[in-house]
Amino acid sequence: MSDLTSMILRAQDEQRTAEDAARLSAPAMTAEDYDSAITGSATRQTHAVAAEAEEIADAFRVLDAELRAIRDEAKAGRLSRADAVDRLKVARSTYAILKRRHQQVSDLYRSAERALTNTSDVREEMLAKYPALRK
Amino acid sequence: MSDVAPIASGAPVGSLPRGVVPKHTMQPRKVELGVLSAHEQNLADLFRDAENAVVAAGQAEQQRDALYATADEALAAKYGVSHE
Repeated sequence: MSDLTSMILRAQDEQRTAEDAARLSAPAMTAEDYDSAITGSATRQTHAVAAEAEEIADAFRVLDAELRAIRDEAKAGRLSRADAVDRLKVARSTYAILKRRHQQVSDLYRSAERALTNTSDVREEMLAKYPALRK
Repeated sequence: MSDVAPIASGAPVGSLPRGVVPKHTMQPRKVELGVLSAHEQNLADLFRDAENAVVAAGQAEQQRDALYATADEALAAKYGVSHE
Protein backbone atom coordinates (compact mmCIF):
# COMPACT_ATOMS: atom_id res chain seq x y z
CA MET A 1 0.00 0.00 0.00
CA SER A 2 1.38 3.40 -0.91
CA ASP A 3 2.14 6.12 1.65
CA LEU A 4 -0.57 8.21 0.07
CA THR A 5 -3.24 5.56 0.37
CA SER A 6 -2.15 4.91 3.95
CA MET A 7 -2.55 8.58 4.79
CA ILE A 8 -6.01 8.71 3.28
CA LEU A 9 -7.07 5.62 5.19
CA ARG A 10 -5.60 7.05 8.37
CA ALA A 11 -7.55 10.28 7.94
CA GLN A 12 -10.72 8.31 7.34
CA ASP A 13 -9.97 6.20 10.42
CA GLU A 14 -9.60 9.36 12.45
CA GLN A 15 -13.01 10.47 11.32
CA ARG A 16 -14.49 7.19 12.45
CA THR A 17 -12.52 7.30 15.70
CA ALA A 18 -13.90 10.74 16.45
CA GLU A 19 -17.40 9.44 15.85
CA ASP A 20 -16.75 6.36 18.00
CA ALA A 21 -15.34 8.49 20.82
CA ALA A 22 -18.37 10.72 20.61
CA ARG A 23 -20.66 7.70 20.74
CA LEU A 24 -18.92 6.13 23.75
CA SER A 25 -18.98 9.30 25.81
CA ALA A 26 -22.33 10.43 24.49
CA PRO A 27 -24.14 10.93 27.80
CA ALA A 28 -21.55 13.43 28.95
CA MET A 29 -21.17 15.28 25.66
CA THR A 30 -22.60 18.68 24.87
CA ALA A 31 -23.17 20.08 21.39
CA GLU A 32 -19.93 22.02 21.84
CA ASP A 33 -18.08 18.78 22.62
CA TYR A 34 -19.41 17.21 19.45
CA ASP A 35 -18.49 20.26 17.42
CA SER A 36 -15.01 20.31 18.90
CA ALA A 37 -14.51 16.61 18.01
CA ILE A 38 -15.82 17.21 14.50
CA THR A 39 -13.66 20.26 13.83
CA GLY A 40 -10.60 18.56 15.36
CA SER A 41 -11.00 15.61 13.06
CA ALA A 42 -11.67 17.82 10.03
CA THR A 43 -8.64 19.95 10.84
CA ARG A 44 -6.40 16.89 10.89
CA GLN A 45 -7.93 15.85 7.58
CA THR A 46 -6.92 19.16 5.99
CA HIS A 47 -3.33 18.56 7.09
CA ALA A 48 -3.40 15.02 5.72
CA VAL A 49 -4.85 16.30 2.45
CA ALA A 50 -2.20 19.02 2.19
CA ALA A 51 0.57 16.44 2.58
CA GLU A 52 -1.04 14.05 0.12
CA ALA A 53 -1.69 16.80 -2.41
CA GLU A 54 1.99 17.77 -2.29
CA GLU A 55 2.93 14.13 -2.94
CA ILE A 56 0.58 13.95 -5.90
CA ALA A 57 1.96 17.22 -7.26
CA ASP A 58 5.50 15.83 -6.99
CA ALA A 59 4.45 12.68 -8.84
CA PHE A 60 2.75 14.80 -11.51
CA ARG A 61 6.02 16.69 -12.00
CA VAL A 62 7.92 13.42 -12.46
CA LEU A 63 5.35 12.28 -15.00
CA ASP A 64 5.57 15.65 -16.74
CA ALA A 65 9.34 15.21 -17.13
CA GLU A 66 8.93 11.65 -18.43
CA LEU A 67 6.36 12.68 -21.05
CA ARG A 68 8.54 15.54 -22.23
CA ALA A 69 11.47 13.12 -22.50
CA ILE A 70 9.40 10.60 -24.51
CA ARG A 71 8.18 13.35 -26.82
CA ASP A 72 11.63 14.86 -27.34
CA GLU A 73 13.42 11.52 -27.81
CA ALA A 74 10.78 10.38 -30.29
CA LYS A 75 11.10 13.62 -32.25
CA ALA A 76 14.88 13.23 -32.32
CA GLY A 77 14.57 9.63 -33.53
CA ARG A 78 16.37 8.37 -30.42
CA LEU A 79 13.53 6.15 -29.22
CA SER A 80 12.47 2.87 -30.76
CA ARG A 81 8.77 2.36 -31.31
CA ALA A 82 8.71 -0.59 -28.89
CA ASP A 83 10.41 1.42 -26.11
CA ALA A 84 8.12 4.37 -26.74
CA VAL A 85 5.03 2.20 -26.48
CA ASP A 86 6.30 0.62 -23.25
CA ARG A 87 7.11 3.95 -21.64
CA LEU A 88 3.80 5.48 -22.67
CA LYS A 89 1.99 2.48 -21.22
CA VAL A 90 3.71 2.91 -17.86
CA ALA A 91 3.04 6.66 -17.95
CA ARG A 92 -0.65 6.08 -18.70
CA SER A 93 -0.96 3.64 -15.83
CA THR A 94 0.78 6.05 -13.43
CA TYR A 95 -1.47 8.86 -14.61
CA ALA A 96 -4.61 6.82 -13.94
CA ILE A 97 -3.43 6.04 -10.39
CA LEU A 98 -2.61 9.69 -9.70
CA LYS A 99 -5.96 10.84 -11.04
CA ARG A 100 -7.72 8.45 -8.66
CA ARG A 101 -5.63 9.73 -5.75
CA HIS A 102 -6.39 13.30 -6.75
CA GLN A 103 -10.10 12.47 -6.69
CA GLN A 104 -9.76 10.83 -3.27
CA VAL A 105 -8.01 13.77 -1.65
CA SER A 106 -10.48 16.19 -3.27
CA ASP A 107 -13.39 14.27 -1.76
CA LEU A 108 -11.67 14.13 1.61
CA TYR A 109 -10.94 17.86 1.55
CA ARG A 110 -14.50 18.77 0.55
CA SER A 111 -15.74 16.65 3.44
CA ALA A 112 -13.35 18.38 5.87
CA GLU A 113 -14.26 21.84 4.57
CA ARG A 114 -17.92 21.08 5.01
CA ALA A 115 -17.33 19.82 8.56
CA LEU A 116 -15.49 23.04 9.38
CA THR A 117 -17.95 25.44 7.82
CA ASN A 118 -21.19 23.58 8.58
CA THR A 119 -20.24 21.92 11.85
CA SER A 120 -23.70 21.99 13.33
CA ASP A 121 -25.17 20.35 10.21
CA VAL A 122 -22.57 17.61 10.37
CA ARG A 123 -23.28 17.18 14.09
CA GLU A 124 -27.00 16.80 13.40
CA GLU A 125 -26.30 14.26 10.67
CA MET A 126 -24.11 12.30 13.08
CA LEU A 127 -26.80 12.40 15.75
CA ALA A 128 -29.39 11.27 13.21
CA LYS A 129 -27.09 8.45 12.13
CA TYR A 130 -26.55 7.34 15.75
CA PRO A 131 -29.83 8.05 17.55
CA ALA A 132 -28.44 6.63 20.81
CA LEU A 133 -26.20 9.68 21.05
CA ARG A 134 -29.19 11.88 21.78
CA LYS A 135 -29.96 10.42 25.19
CA MET B 1 8.50 22.36 -11.99
CA SER B 2 9.30 25.48 -10.07
CA ASP B 3 6.58 27.50 -11.82
CA VAL B 4 3.85 25.63 -9.98
CA ALA B 5 2.26 27.44 -7.08
CA PRO B 6 2.20 25.84 -3.62
CA ILE B 7 -0.98 23.94 -3.01
CA ALA B 8 -1.32 24.37 0.73
CA SER B 9 -0.98 27.11 3.31
CA GLY B 10 -1.64 27.47 7.00
CA ALA B 11 -4.63 29.73 6.47
CA PRO B 12 -7.69 28.52 8.40
CA VAL B 13 -10.74 27.12 6.67
CA GLY B 14 -14.05 28.00 8.27
CA SER B 15 -14.33 28.75 11.97
CA LEU B 16 -15.57 27.25 15.17
CA PRO B 17 -19.01 28.17 16.46
CA ARG B 18 -19.00 31.28 18.63
CA GLY B 19 -17.92 30.61 22.19
CA VAL B 20 -16.51 27.15 21.53
CA VAL B 21 -12.91 26.70 22.61
CA PRO B 22 -11.27 24.00 20.53
CA LYS B 23 -9.61 21.15 22.39
CA HIS B 24 -6.92 21.12 19.73
CA THR B 25 -4.60 23.95 18.87
CA MET B 26 -3.82 22.97 15.28
CA GLN B 27 -5.33 25.24 12.63
CA PRO B 28 -6.90 23.82 9.45
CA ARG B 29 -4.83 24.10 6.28
CA LYS B 30 -6.14 25.71 3.15
CA VAL B 31 -5.40 23.46 0.16
CA GLU B 32 -5.57 24.72 -3.41
CA LEU B 33 -6.61 21.57 -5.19
CA GLY B 34 -7.10 23.57 -8.39
CA VAL B 35 -3.32 23.44 -8.78
CA LEU B 36 -3.55 19.66 -9.06
CA SER B 37 -6.33 19.97 -11.62
CA ALA B 38 -4.11 22.27 -13.67
CA HIS B 39 -1.28 19.72 -13.45
CA GLU B 40 -3.66 17.00 -14.57
CA GLN B 41 -4.83 18.97 -17.60
CA ASN B 42 -1.24 19.86 -18.49
CA LEU B 43 -0.35 16.17 -18.40
CA ALA B 44 -3.29 15.29 -20.63
CA ASP B 45 -1.91 17.76 -23.20
CA LEU B 46 1.59 16.33 -22.82
CA PHE B 47 0.28 12.80 -23.41
CA ARG B 48 -1.23 13.98 -26.68
CA ASP B 49 2.06 15.62 -27.74
CA ALA B 50 4.14 12.58 -26.77
CA GLU B 51 1.80 10.15 -28.50
CA ASN B 52 1.76 12.25 -31.65
CA ALA B 53 5.56 12.39 -31.61
CA VAL B 54 5.77 8.61 -31.18
CA VAL B 55 3.34 8.03 -34.06
CA ALA B 56 5.34 10.40 -36.29
CA ALA B 57 8.58 8.65 -35.30
CA GLY B 58 6.99 5.29 -36.13
CA GLN B 59 5.98 6.56 -39.56
CA ALA B 60 9.47 7.90 -40.17
CA GLU B 61 10.86 4.50 -39.15
CA GLN B 62 8.57 2.76 -41.65
CA GLN B 63 9.52 5.18 -44.42
CA ARG B 64 13.19 4.61 -43.71
CA ASP B 65 12.71 0.82 -43.79
CA ALA B 66 10.82 1.11 -47.07
CA LEU B 67 13.62 3.24 -48.49
CA TYR B 68 16.23 0.63 -47.47
CA ALA B 69 14.13 -2.09 -49.09
CA THR B 70 13.86 -0.08 -52.31
CA ALA B 71 17.60 0.60 -52.30
CA ASP B 72 18.29 -3.11 -51.72
CA GLU B 73 16.11 -4.06 -54.65
CA ALA B 74 17.79 -1.51 -56.89
CA LEU B 75 21.27 -2.72 -55.88
CA ALA B 76 20.29 -6.33 -56.34
CA ALA B 77 18.82 -5.59 -59.78
CA LYS B 78 21.89 -3.70 -60.94
CA TYR B 79 24.74 -5.57 -59.28
CA GLY B 80 23.15 -8.71 -57.93
CA VAL B 81 24.13 -7.71 -54.38
CA SER B 82 22.42 -6.17 -51.44
CA HIS B 83 23.73 -4.03 -48.59
CA GLU B 84 22.72 -6.69 -46.06
